[in-house]
Amino acid sequence: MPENPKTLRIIISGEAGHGILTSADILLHSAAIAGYYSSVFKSIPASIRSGSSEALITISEKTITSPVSSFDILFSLCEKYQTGMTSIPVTVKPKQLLFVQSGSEENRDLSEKTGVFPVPFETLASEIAASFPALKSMIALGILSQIAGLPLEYLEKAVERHFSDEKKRHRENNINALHTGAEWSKEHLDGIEIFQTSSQPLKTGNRIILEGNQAISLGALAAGCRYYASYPITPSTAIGEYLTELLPESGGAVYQAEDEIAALGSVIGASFTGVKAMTATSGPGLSLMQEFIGYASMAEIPVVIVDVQRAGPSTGMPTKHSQDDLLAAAFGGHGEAPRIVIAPVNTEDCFHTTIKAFELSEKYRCPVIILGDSAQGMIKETIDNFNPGQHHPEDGRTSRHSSGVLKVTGLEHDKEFFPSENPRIRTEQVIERFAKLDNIEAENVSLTDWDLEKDNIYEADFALIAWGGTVPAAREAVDLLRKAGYRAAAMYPRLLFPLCRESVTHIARFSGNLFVPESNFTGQYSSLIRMNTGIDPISLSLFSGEPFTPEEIVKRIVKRISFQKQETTRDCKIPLNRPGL
Amino acid sequence: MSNGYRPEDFHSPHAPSWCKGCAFYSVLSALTTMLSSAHIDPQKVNIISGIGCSSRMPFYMSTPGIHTLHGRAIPVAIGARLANPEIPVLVIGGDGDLFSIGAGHFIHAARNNFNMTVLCLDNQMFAMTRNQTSPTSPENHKGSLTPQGHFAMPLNPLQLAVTSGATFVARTYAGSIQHMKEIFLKAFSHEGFSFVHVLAPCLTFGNNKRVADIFSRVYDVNSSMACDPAVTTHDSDPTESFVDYGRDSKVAIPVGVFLIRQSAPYESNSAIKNRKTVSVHEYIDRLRITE
Repeated sequence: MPENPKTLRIIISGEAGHGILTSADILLHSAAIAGYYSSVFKSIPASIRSGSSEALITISEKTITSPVSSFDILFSLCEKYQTGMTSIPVTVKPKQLLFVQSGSEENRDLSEKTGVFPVPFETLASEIAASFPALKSMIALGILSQIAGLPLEYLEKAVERHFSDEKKRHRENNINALHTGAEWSKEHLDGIEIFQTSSQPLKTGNRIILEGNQAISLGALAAGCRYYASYPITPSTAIGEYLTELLPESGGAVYQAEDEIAALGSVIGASFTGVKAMTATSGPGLSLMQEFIGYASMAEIPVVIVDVQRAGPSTGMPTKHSQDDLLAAAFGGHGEAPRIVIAPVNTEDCFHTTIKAFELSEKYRCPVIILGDSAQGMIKETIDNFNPGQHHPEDGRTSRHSSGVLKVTGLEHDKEFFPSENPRIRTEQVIERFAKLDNIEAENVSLTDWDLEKDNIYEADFALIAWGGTVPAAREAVDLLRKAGYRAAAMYPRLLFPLCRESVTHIARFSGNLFVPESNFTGQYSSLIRMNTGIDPISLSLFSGEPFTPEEIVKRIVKRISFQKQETTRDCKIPLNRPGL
Repeated sequence: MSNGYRPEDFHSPHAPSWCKGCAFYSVLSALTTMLSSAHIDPQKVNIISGIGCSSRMPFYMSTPGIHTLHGRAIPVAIGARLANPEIPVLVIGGDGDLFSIGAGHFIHAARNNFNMTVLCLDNQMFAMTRNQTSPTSPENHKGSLTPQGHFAMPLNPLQLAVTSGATFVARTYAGSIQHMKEIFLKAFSHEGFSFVHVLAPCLTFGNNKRVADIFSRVYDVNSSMACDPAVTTHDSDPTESFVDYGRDSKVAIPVGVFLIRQSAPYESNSAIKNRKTVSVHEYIDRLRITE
């Protein structure tokens, strides 16, 4: 593997309806056939057919999972060059290629710049088939095939697979559009080649394409979940869609409830009567579920709740990234209701962490909340040698069913679940519900990824703790910082609440500053650290609706450290751009 | 009854905490008698309730029970039904529980025709919190939060059940254990969403006279049951007969079965059937890159 692997970053931007997400899937698949790793990060508007829709596709020789902060090639399919991802600079940089709709008044100034090519997407598409704007993105892929050396036949294969259920005519139109784009490219872009894929597939690995929400669904199935209920809410709906495909054929059941309260209520009903059950929602749904989360905690009924976070509060930004539900997940609802909050650290881990969530809920008899986020849930990527692990054959029975408890209540109760307000019983019961979680730290051993500076944590200049969807960017940031000569220690916990004091204290004690990058305003995980350990981490917060990029994390940490060590700043050269092509 | 279960087999050892003379004691007797004559194994029925005086019922029965949250018995019951279609479910709630905080759930469970029996033990008020106006309180009802009287038309549970799509709608009254038992049995035997409105006026925040008055005005639409000649009965239009019994003290109160419709319950298509051991490998194979 070369030191700086070849990486190509492509943005396809247009209006929803231009086939952006479909073309991204096709590109992902054909890149995989060519032996490359790739990932797609989707940025979609909250409405079906307005606003901009973008796919950020990274193709590389090595796994790339975190969002990018720049691009090499951009296709803008609408009248006006626009990008919804404000972190991507609008100015045209050297070596970048932009393909914009030609003849557009809006794009005139831009069209005169070097590296900008006006393309008659509209005309070319309508020559193939009238009123079919989705062909525009296929034309873009055709152009890409020439300048990136991605064999057209791989794209064709991916189109055939993607539209296998569609009419032949539809497939032909899409393939024609690929050829049209390739022809246009040969005529107008002779000699430009910005990336060259190998003529032979790089690797014939055991490879799958997986999306976070899909991985959560598969994890649930593997864990023995046989009942799923939910109410439609972005960005968690895909979990319900996948499970609606998977569960009935496994003898399970799915239910679309009238609201999130009913969704979790029915999950509790299924779980208490013996079937492993799960629901998924996003922030607003989590708010509605709080009373039943308290109930499941009080009645000690195992349930798994997935919260694919989006930017709140209230309706907020339904399709935008955020990690602002952590404290609501940990403390939401009235009274003191013990529960467990965990978060996967990447797409593949969505599968394993979901299985873990079911194990923990059964073992500790309490609600387990999986905190996903839209960056993680909606990132699609190629994964090598995916190992689902060995799971015991599961038919979905909960262990509770055989425990002989016949009644439950949300009232304070004695051990037989008969209501009681006796002070002694109350005291014992509260202690018992919380004491269950006393040994949760033991679980953390298998739930935390450590990335220490060699094996000498004592020498680290600083430590970093990241969770959930920020982890992939943080891992890359740590690599970049180390290349720049910093000594960094990092910890990526999956178990967020109850907070693992020992692990946090361990990494904080022997490192200088403790940085916690997270996508919320108040630094919620930092708050948990403060209230549980007294350690005062430096919160790096981002709340724009975009996920952290590795460069953003590097920039903030360097700025902070430079500020503290004025004299060393002059020598500090950080490569703020991703390793080049 | 040989090899069967006696009504006392459905009672728990706990004495109810209801007020002396409460109508719910009779409802409990009718329920246990009904379950005994339905030849149900006490371990093979789920009693699911909300919050309120009547929702305490599961604690006084020997069956598995879920005492849920205020207004949320029905969603929990739906999960229990879909997960275990072979185990019948009885939902018990009061008028406030089912029709104030839980009204949305009621509508959708009826519409979807879940195979469950929902009993509304209607005492026309929030009694546990010491008399506040509920959706079924008579017009001008004075509750602690509406001391001037609540000037609104009471909600009619029967009409709501019918328009929501319930496939069995009936009313009975706590004045007759026998009548309750018969109606409960019919509802319990019905395949689909069955709703029974149980007249169970509160004694503590009402009075003996009012309870006796309500019970004296009932007449069964399915039989020529004796009715006080001083009160007028309705014509045969069932919609007309879903009268609000509290509004006019001179009007007779129809009880009995008002509607039975045969329709496949929700569970017939969508419940858990044969739980299979599946291998996720099979699903993961579908995601593999094919060249």
